[in-house]
Amino acid sequence: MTVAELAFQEELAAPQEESQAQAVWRRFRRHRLAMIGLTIAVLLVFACFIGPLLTPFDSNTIRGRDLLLLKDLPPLSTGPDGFHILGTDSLGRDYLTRLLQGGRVSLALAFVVVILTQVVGTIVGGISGYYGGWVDAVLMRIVDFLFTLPSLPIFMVLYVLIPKDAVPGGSITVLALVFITLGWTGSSRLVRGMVLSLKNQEFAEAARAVGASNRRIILRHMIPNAIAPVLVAATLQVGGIVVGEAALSYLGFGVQPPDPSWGNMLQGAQKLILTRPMQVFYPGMTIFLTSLSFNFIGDALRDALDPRGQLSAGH
Amino acid sequence: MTAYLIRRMLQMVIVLIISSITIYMLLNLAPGGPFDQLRTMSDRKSRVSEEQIDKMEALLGLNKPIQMRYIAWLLGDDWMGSINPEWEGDTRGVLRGDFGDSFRQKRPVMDMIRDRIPKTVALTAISALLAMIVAIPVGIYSAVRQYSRADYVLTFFTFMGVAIPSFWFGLMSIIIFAQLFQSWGLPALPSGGWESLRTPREGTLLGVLGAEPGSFLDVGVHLILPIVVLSLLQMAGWTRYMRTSMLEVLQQDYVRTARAKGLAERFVVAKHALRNALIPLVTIVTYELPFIFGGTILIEQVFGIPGMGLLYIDALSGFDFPVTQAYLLITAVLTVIATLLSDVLYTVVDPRIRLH
Repeated sequence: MTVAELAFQEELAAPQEESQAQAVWRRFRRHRLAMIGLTIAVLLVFACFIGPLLTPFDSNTIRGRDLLLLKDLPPLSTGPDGFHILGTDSLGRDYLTRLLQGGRVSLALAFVVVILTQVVGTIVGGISGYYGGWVDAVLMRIVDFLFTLPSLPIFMVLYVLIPKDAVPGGSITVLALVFITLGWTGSSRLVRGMVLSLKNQEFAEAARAVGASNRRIILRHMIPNAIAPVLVAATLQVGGIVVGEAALSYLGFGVQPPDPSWGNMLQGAQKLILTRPMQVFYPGMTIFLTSLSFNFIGDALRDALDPRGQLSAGH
Repeated sequence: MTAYLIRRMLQMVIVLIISSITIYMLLNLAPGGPFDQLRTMSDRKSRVSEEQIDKMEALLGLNKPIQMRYIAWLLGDDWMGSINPEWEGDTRGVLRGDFGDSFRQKRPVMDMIRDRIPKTVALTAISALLAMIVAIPVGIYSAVRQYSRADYVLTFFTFMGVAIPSFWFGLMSIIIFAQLFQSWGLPALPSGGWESLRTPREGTLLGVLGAEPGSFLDVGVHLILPIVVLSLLQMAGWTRYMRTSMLEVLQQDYVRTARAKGLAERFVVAKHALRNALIPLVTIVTYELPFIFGGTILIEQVFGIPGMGLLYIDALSGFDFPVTQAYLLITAVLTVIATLLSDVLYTVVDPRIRLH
């Protein structure tokens, strides 16, 4: 609270020319853990999206295939050497390449899911808060219901029920659909709360007075004003989706091999836990770092966007 | 209170009926059922004709109209002969404790879950207890010493606990406490399972303790890692929760009054503040019990514990719908009870709150 108050006073003292984005960035930079988190997140994203282009290996090339004709098969999974920096997995595929490629899948999935769930949640929350009445009652009962469901078993059963061959992209798309179907509730509640407090303020009445349509008021006046908490929620959600993807893929209800993801690599690595324990370590560590980084970033973002602590009273 | 309870019970029944319909219809009407794979395969070598599929469906009772199948699932079909002699069967229905027969194992689902439920419930309950035992004092300490170095360190650890994938933490704990301990000559923990299958080896913790396979001690030692790992997420979340709630209470007037009349700070915290700070925690703990129950799926997979979670994984991957339905219905019942319980507890511990 003291930090937030300080920030507020500083903001008052700051010169008027500073744009909002600059002010947010200035407040954000003060959080050391968040800056570390941001660095790690940027490095991970760059490594995963550029790295696979640079490694001399392909993430799906099975080394053993060339060797099947040889009499003495060398072990497919090898430890780290000068050639394969992190060794190879149980099918002789370069582990580092798969780790980076898997990160691409895991991170891209998380970003797409987060953006889409926030869009759906924002729209539902906007409608629910603005119109109120029975629309609100029905939508919020659905949200309440989805909120009480223990997520893991429900995610698994939905994953099984969506046919994998019916959608382009196979298991990855199905997994994204599962997350989007069940993930929008949080932000819809958030936006609804914001809209409820905004819709009777003067600027909204002014918009109504000049004859703006409900759609225009929701899209142009309500949602932009509620965007800050949504941004925070979205950042915090990234970590949750990365961990969720990993959990489901680990159980076999997510990204299916041969496509690598951090989750299904853990499933593969568990079989080698006795001989190659480090292969269990790496994918989990990248999941952990991603999740931790985005949590720190989100937390600092909340402070930076909302120096007076209105959005998070009590925290 | 009584009127409120009765109304909530009625709501609970309605929610459960809706849930049971949703579960049943979702599984039985969605594409991708047990025979869809056979159908899509029918242009390949492993051809299965429509008649054969029909025969198989009749064998599993899938040829009746869906609403009759739902009713049979819920109430049994031993009485249905009076409506249509063809529908007469020998199941007694979920409400009479019969979840039907498993598609794959051809034996009653009830037999399959009977010795699995206690294992999963034990995992859930003990890890919730452990998480609370740690979260309450740590949260209080963090709040009382707000912005101290210890508070920052503890807050950092709760961040880690929330961000860490629990199942990876489990796998790493197997590597460290079972494998590395073994190679370092320390008393290693078992790497998985519910109990030992043979006499434990020398040098392991079980060997040192001389635990008989299947004994209470044996099971207890097997559960150390799974329970610690399972409790981690809740431990972190509840610590934060406890800290926030304690901070809020400590700012209130009655706490200031207690301090003003000269009570020792320790006494103010333990006697005056704690009671009110616990209220939100109690409700969240009850509310989250079904989530821990669901979370055992991962832990059971990591440690190979034959509980409800592993059963659910097998049932889902094999399209074994009677088993899947049983698991989901049990989860629904747990969820509804936990929600009601947390609401009721709220009033019991805080008489200021009135229920309507």
